[in-house]
Amino acid sequence: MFLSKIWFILVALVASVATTVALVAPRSASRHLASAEAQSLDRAQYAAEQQLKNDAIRWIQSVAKLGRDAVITETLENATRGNGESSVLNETIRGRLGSLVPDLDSRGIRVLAAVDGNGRIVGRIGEGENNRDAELVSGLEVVSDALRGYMSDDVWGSNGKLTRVAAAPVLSKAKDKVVGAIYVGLDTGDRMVELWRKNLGVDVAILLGGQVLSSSVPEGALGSLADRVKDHQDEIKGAHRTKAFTLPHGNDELLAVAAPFAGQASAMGAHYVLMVKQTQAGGPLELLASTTKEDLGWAVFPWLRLGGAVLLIIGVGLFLQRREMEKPLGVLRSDVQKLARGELQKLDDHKHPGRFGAIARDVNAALERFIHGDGAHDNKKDLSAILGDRGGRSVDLPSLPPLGSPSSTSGFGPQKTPGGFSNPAPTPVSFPGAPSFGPPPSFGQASGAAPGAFSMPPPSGPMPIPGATPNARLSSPPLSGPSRPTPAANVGPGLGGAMPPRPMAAPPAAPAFGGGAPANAHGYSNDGGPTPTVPMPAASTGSLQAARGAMPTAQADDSPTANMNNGAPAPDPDEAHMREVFAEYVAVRSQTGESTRGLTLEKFRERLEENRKAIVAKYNCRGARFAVYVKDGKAAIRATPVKD
Amino acid sequence: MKVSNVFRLEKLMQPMRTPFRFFALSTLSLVCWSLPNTDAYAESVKGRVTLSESLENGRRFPGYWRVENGSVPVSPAVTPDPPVVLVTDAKGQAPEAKTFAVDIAGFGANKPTLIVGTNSVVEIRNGDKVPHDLSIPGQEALMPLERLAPGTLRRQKFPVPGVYEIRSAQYPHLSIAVIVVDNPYAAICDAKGNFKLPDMPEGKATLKVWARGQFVHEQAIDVRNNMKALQIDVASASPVDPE
Repeated sequence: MFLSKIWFILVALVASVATTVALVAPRSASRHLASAEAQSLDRAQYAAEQQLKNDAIRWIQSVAKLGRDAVITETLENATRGNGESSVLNETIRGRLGSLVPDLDSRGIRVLAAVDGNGRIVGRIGEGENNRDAELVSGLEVVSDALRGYMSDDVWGSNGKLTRVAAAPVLSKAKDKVVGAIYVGLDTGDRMVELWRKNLGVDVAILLGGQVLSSSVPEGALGSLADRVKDHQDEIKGAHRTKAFTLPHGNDELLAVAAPFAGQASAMGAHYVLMVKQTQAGGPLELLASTTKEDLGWAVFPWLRLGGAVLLIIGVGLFLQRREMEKPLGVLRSDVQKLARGELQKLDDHKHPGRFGAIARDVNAALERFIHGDGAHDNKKDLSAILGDRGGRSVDLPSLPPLGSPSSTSGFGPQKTPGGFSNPAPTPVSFPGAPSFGPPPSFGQASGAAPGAFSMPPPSGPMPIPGATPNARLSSPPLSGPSRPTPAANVGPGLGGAMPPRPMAAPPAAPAFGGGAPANAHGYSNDGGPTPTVPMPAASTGSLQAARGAMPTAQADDSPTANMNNGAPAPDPDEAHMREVFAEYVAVRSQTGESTRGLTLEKFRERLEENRKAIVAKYNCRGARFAVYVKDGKAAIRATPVKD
Repeated sequence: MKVSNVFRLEKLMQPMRTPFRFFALSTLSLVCWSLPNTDAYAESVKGRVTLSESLENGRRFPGYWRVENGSVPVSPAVTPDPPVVLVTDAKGQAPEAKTFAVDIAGFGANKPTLIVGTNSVVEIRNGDKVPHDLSIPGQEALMPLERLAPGTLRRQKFPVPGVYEIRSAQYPHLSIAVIVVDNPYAAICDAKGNFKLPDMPEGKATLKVWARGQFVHEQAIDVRNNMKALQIDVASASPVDPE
C-alpha cells in the first residue's frame, strides 16, 4: 500500500506539474513571442535606419555626379557671375537635368534643382519646375552646406509632405571654388512605405506633425499612433528610437517601434513606425485549437515516447496495486477460505502485510471472542455466517428445574410451574432457521419459586477446574462441522494454536431443533431438517471430570453426588454419558450459584431419557447427546441428535 | 580698484605746478583712498567663447551625412550665427525699448540673434516667396502660430526679460533668437568668439552662453578688478578662476 500511495502521489504531482505547465507555459510563450517580436522590430528598425543612410549617401553621390556635368557647371558659373539671361540659364539647367534624369517618378524624385553660388535656384525639374523665378534658398541648411563645400542630406517636412533631400556642391571647371549646388528631393511616402514593407517584412507608418502621412495598414486603425509616439518623446530624444510598445489595432494588438527621421523634419514630429501584429499565445485551449495536423504527425509528435510513458505509468500503478493490494487480498481470502474450510485454526497475521495483517488479527480476535467470549451464541451465528457454516446444530434444552420439585415432573414439556421442565413457549435458539427449544430459562431459576427442590447450597467459592478456564470451557458452544477442528479444541491452552485441532465427533447431519417452529408436546419445535450435531467440547468433558473430582462429596445424602454414586450406573455408554452430563450439570449449577438440592441422577436420567426418546422419535436418529453449558449465567443443557 | 585709482591720480598730478594744488590733490587723493569699495566702481569682463566643432560648424538639424567634397576647402557659413554671452544676477540699466527689424530671405533670417531691452518690438518681414508659419514654440500665448505671407510684416513685442526663439513651423532651421535683458551686460561674440562686457559692477554673477538656439554654457563669475580674460570652452566648459 505504501508504494502504491507513493506512486499515486507521484502521478498526481506529475499531473499537477503538467497542468501548471499547460496553464503557465502560454503566458511565458507570449512573453517570449513578444520579446522575439520586439527583437525582430529592433532589427527591422536598425535595417530601416541603415536603409535611410544608404539612400542618403547614394543620392548624395548621385547629385555630386550631376554636379560634375560640364553643362551644369558652366551654367552655374555663369549664373553665379551674373552672366546670361536667367531664363536661358533656367532652360539650360532644366533641359540638362531632364536629359540626365529623364524619369523622375520612377526613381521617386520629387524635385531636382540647381542653385548658383549665391543661393538662388537657376533651374529645377519636378515640383515647381514652371517657377522661373530665381528663388533664394541659401538659408536652407542643406543648400548652405553645399555652397560651403559639404555634401549632405536633410529631411524636410514642408507643405504636409516629407521629403528626403540630398545636396552636393558644384565645383568650377578649375575645381578651385564652389559655383553652385544641386539638390534632389525624394518622395517619402507611400513609395517608401511599400518598399520597406516588402524589404523589412513589417508594416510601416510615417508620421509628420501628429498626422499619419502614409501607412501600410489602414490608417483608421492608427488613430492613436501619433499620441503613442508623442508619449515616447523623451525616449526618442535619448535613444533616437522607442522600445517596442503595443498599439491597439481593431481586435488585435500591434507591436510598434518608432524612430525619428533625421534633419529638420525631426523637429516637426516626423517619425517612421515599424509595426508587427502581436501574436497572442492564448491559453492551453487556444493553443490546442490552433494545433495542425502536422503538429500531431509521427515525425513531430513523440507518440511512442508518450504512449510508452503512459503505459509505464499504468503498468507501474497496476503492478504496485497488485503487489500491495490484490495479491495480499487474495492470500487473505484464501486463508479465510481455508479457515472457513477448517484447514486453518486461525489466520497467521504475520503472513499478511500491513492492514491485511490487521484484518487477520481482527478475524482472529473475532474468532477468539466467538469461542470464549460472552454471547457466544450470537457470535457463533455471526461467525457461522462468515465462515459459511453449514455444520450440525445442537438443540438447547429447557432449563432443568430442580429435579426434586414436585411440580417438575412434566419433563421437557411446556413449563407450567416455575422450576418445571415445561416451557410455555418455544424459544428460538441462536441459529437462524434452526429449531429451538425456546427461551432458555434456567433449571434452577425457580429455586425460590419451588422451595425444597434441590436445596443444595451454592459452593462457597469458585469450583476449581484444573487445566482450563472455567468460563471459557463452560460457555464455549461447540462448533459445527464434521471435519472442522473446533475452536473449542483450543480452549485449554487458549487460541494460540499449539494444540492440534480435535475433530468433532458429531455427524454432519444432525437434527436441529427449535427455531420459530411450533412447539411439540415436549416443548421442542423443529421446522428444519436434521443438522449435524455439535458435540460437547472435549475440554469441557475433561473439565467436568475435574469438576466432578472437585465436587464436594461430604454432603448429606441428598447431595446430587451421593445420589449419583448411590445409583450405580449401568456399564453401557449411554449411562456413562448420562452420568457425565449429570455430574457436569451439578458442577455447573454449583458454579453458577444455583441450588442442587433434590437433584438426583435418577430423576435427571429420567428427564433426559424422555427427551432422548423424543428426539430419537422425531429425528429418527440413534440417540442423543447432551451437553451442559452456561446460558445467561445459569446452567443449561443442549441436546444433540446422534445418527450413527 | 585701488591700483586704478592711483593710476588716475598720477595722471591728474602731472600738470600740477603749485604746492597748493599738490596739497589739495594729495588730500583729495587720500580721501578717495580711504573710501570703501563699492559697486559704483565697474570693471570690464571679457573673454573668448570657443564652441565645439559640432556647435561651430554643425547644423542645427543634421542629416545622416555631411562630408566634404574632397576638392575645395569648406568655406565659412554665409550667415554666421555667433554665440551670445550674457550675465544674469547683475543690476544695471536695461537697454531702451526699441524696434528691431528682421528680414527673412532665402529661408533664413538676416539677424538670427537679437539682444533687446524689455518692451522692445521685433518686426519680421518675410522676403521669401513662400509663407512662413512663425511662433514661439512653448510660448504660443505670447506669440501664437501665425502664417506670415510673402512680403508681409509681423510685429512682436517682448515685455518680459528672457530668451525667446521664434521659429518657422515648416522650416525649423529658420529661427530668430530674441534675448530680452534687464541689464546691459549681454554681448554677441565676434567671428572669433571674443566678447566684452564693459562696466560691470564688482561682485558675483552668473555668466551664460547662448548658441545654436540653446544655452550651451553657464558659470559663476566673481567680477573684480583686473580680472583675467575668461576662456570659455563650451565643449569642456568649467568655471574659470577669476584670479
